[in-house]
Amino acid sequence: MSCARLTLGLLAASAVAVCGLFLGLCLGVSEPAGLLVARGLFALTLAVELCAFGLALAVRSRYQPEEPNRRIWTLFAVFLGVRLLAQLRLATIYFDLVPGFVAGSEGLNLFYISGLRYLYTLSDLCFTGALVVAIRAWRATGLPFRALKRDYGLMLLVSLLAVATWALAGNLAILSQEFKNVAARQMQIFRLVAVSLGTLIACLCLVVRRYAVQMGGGALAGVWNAVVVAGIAHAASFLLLGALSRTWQTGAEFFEQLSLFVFAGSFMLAILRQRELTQAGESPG
Amino acid sequence: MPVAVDLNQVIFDVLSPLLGKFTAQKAVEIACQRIKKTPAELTIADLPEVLAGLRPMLRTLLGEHLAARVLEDIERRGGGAA
Repeated sequence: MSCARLTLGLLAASAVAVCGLFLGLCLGVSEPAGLLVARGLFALTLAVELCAFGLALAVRSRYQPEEPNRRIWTLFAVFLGVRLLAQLRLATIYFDLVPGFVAGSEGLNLFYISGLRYLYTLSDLCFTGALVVAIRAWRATGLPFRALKRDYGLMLLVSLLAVATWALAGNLAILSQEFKNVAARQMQIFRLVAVSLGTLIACLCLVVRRYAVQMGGGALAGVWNAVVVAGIAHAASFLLLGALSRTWQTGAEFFEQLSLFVFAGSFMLAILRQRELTQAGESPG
Repeated sequence: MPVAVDLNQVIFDVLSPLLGKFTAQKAVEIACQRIKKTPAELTIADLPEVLAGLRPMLRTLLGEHLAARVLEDIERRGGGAA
């Protein structure tokens, strides 16, 4: 069994187990117990993202500076690295580990809570860049990759879902007030920026998915299909949060986190598959 | 007595597990267009030109190392058996 398949099995089993535990606790014990599971899932996602970052750096180093794959994997590595910083910041907030000098200063605290949140935006821009570079590189090969009308229809549908989330933005701000009660308005603005970028990423993923389908299978399509699942799960996390936050806040946080776990796991899978490809090129005879 | 090799099939067999069957087929067609032949008309004599035609595409899709490995494989299977 390949490393990628084993990882996929482990991640899928973890997601199912955590879902069962969450629903069991929420239905049978209490909401706070469910929230604890959501935070545990956050920590697990963080660990997967850390591994993915290390592996992405290793994959990147296997390409020469002038190769398109080097640019793509550099952008993916920066995306994961900056996202990891943002996630570590969030971990300090979730687990009450914010440094004392930050917590003690109103200005620093506001920057830490609201300003550094835009690390996610920066990382998403790198993800977007990587997808754009990949699409351009593939089209430059002369192979007949092209998006179809139905892909544009799907993009429209995804964009409409984003607009729906935009309409629910008030709920997102309320949710943010609950966990720290700081700068709810900034949170609302950030969420809208994040949803917009997430939608762009999802649309680009739909193009990449079409190209992967047009390949007709193969190892390279396997890599990019996993990236597509990651991108869609990433966008879905915002939509789930927006859709559920009015009626079930603990569930909203859990299912947002579950989407992000699927995102991290899928990205890890893509990196492992890409690593297997690069190793095939380097192994002797 | 030399064994006749279907170069089109060799290239397809090497490329399709990596790039998929449609990409493999199209890649051969594009490489053939450069030498103004159809895939069915390919002979061992065309191998160097076909490999040169495939190289930039494979380099972009698979990276330098794997592209070189794939081209070596096609050369070995195509030219080696002739």
